[in-house]
Amino acid sequence: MKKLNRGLRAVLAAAAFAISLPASAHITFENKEVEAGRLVKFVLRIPHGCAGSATTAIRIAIPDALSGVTPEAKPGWTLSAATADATPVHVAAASNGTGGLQAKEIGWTGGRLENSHHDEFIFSATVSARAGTIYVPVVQECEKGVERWIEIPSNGGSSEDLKHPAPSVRVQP
Amino acid sequence: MKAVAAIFAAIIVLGSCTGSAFAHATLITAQPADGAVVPVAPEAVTLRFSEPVRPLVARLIHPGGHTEILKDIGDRGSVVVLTLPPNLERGTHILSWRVASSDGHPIGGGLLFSVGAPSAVAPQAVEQSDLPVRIGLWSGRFMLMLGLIVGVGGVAFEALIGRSGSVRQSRIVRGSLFLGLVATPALIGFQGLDALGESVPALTRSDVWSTGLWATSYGRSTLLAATALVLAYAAGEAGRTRFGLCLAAVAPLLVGVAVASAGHASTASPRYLTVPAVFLHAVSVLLWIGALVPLGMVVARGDAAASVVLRRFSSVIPVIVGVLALSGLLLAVVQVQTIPALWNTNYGLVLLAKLALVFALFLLAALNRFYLTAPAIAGDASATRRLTRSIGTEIALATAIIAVLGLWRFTPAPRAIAANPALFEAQEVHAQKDGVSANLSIHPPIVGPVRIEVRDLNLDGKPFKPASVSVDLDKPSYGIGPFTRDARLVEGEGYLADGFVLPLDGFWIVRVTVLVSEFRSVTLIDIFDVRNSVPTKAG
Repeated sequence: MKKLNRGLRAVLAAAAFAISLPASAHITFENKEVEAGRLVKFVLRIPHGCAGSATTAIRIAIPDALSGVTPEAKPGWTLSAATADATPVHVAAASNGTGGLQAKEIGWTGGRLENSHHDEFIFSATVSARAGTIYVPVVQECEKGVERWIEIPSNGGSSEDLKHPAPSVRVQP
Repeated sequence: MKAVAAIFAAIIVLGSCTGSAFAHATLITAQPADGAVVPVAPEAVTLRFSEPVRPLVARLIHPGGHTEILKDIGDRGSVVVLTLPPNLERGTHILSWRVASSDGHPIGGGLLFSVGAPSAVAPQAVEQSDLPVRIGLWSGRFMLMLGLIVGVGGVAFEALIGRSGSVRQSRIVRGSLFLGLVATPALIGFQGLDALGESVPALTRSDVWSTGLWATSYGRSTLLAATALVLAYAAGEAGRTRFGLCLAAVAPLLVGVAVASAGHASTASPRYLTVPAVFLHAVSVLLWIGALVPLGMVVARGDAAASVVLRRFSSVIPVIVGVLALSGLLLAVVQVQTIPALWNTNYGLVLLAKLALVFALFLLAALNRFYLTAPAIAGDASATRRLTRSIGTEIALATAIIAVLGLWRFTPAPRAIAANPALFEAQEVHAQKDGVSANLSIHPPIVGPVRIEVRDLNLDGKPFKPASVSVDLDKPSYGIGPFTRDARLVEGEGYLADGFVLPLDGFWIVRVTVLVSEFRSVTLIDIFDVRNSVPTKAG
């Protein structure tokens, strides 16, 4: 029995490896796994602009599974944050590090990121979910056009049909 | 029990890999652009991607319906230049391309361009593959399925249930594995011929093979099936070791993945139901029908282990048949949707034929289970004889069912429009997902220019106004498309998307992406059954 289990586990590991090959063309988080209940620094990687056009804004909808969001300031970009009822939040309050900000949407606007350059946008948040996968919808605005990285696969599985998947992290209990 | 849990975990993992999202390259621009009308025939189509890609295959469908493989493909990293044949005729041309991302994952797309002006009428229906190709395709599929069911299923039975029977693997099971492996390359070749509308002599051309492998969604699933055959063969070689048992258990699951990764059944919505249903249907067919040959032989041989094996088989079979029947019922309901479709569509007719055979098979199985198994276990010689004969009949029926499955490619061309005009005006389906529902319709459901309408769009049961709606049409089984168009709002009508030209009849997958809010989109997926408009001589 034990050996059989080990064999199956090896197969599972191989399958898991095969499906976790690195992603490159999509917007993703650098951290793939986060710990439940912890304050985590999320590093959002932007690999390119929208269909060849330079990025001018990144806006993020904060899911219910994250709380106390604080976006990190970035030279050349203006921070913004808003609560669920679209009330703007003072960014000074956002950067005081207490994690008390109840923003449901954060953004970096007014900057410029060339299409061929990649960059990272960072925010911290407390993970309130205990398990599962957290999907974080991102809207990438460009000089010409918008890319919406907001598609969430149905029923936990992932899907080939998704052209613009929302970046996600797995929660480790 | 732990082993059972591990097997279930494997089912879930393997089941979920069927649709795992790899990051792929995306098309940034095309020159000429999709839908462009150009005054003079362009010399080439230039595709610019977000990252370096490797071109696999590109096909041009001319306004007359003739399909051509573009041979001259230049790639410079992320830019692919497809040289078009000289002197393109006036009218709408349809280009379908497949490229491999840097991770090796094939992605595809399609675009239309018109020289002079768009064609007013349908491309004169792409010539159907000729009869030898359709026969080859059907036989290849039949042989592969026989190999999978009798071979892989037989190995699984011998390893998991018949384990106290004779150690020697039966020759039929081994032969079936071999048959399946021989059928695999033939099937890939015929899939290529079918997708290109070529005839048998073209098998010598390499583009036919690369089309069979890469351009259609069947290529990958055929390879997965071949892998399952090899695993099952290795399981037979490894014999009764733990490793062998493990291989014998994984091989049927791999077949389930192969079947669930291609074909229209797993594309129908709701996918979270249909993909596992297709997977379970395939695995349970394998375990049931695959058991019949080795079981029949054990019973016929009448060796000492027969009663043990029979008892074990009859205790697990109700579960397997239950899963089979439930998943089959679910798929039939999802696919046929309306009762008249059973006799109005080719798919429905083939399904009816299959159901009749399945019903007979169920009757026989019940007879065996409830009247013959107990006396045979007790050692009644005449019951054993009748059981052997009955299992033989079951095997024959099962073979007939497998044979019927690929038949819809042979069903007569649809009746002329005049015979039943209503069928050709529009086809409507109701799709819903994540609280969004809508009626999707295609006007007309015939090869050629079509319009897609999205009506009665509701969010949580209430009408709402989305930020945008886009529609794409795709025929992955032939590697054509997807073609994407934005839908425009027409007050009082709904959202309309036009500018599609469908070059081929059969199942087309429609995906409607509704942008509910800035950060939330929902994609409704369904299938249209598109017909050929050519009046048939047979009438």
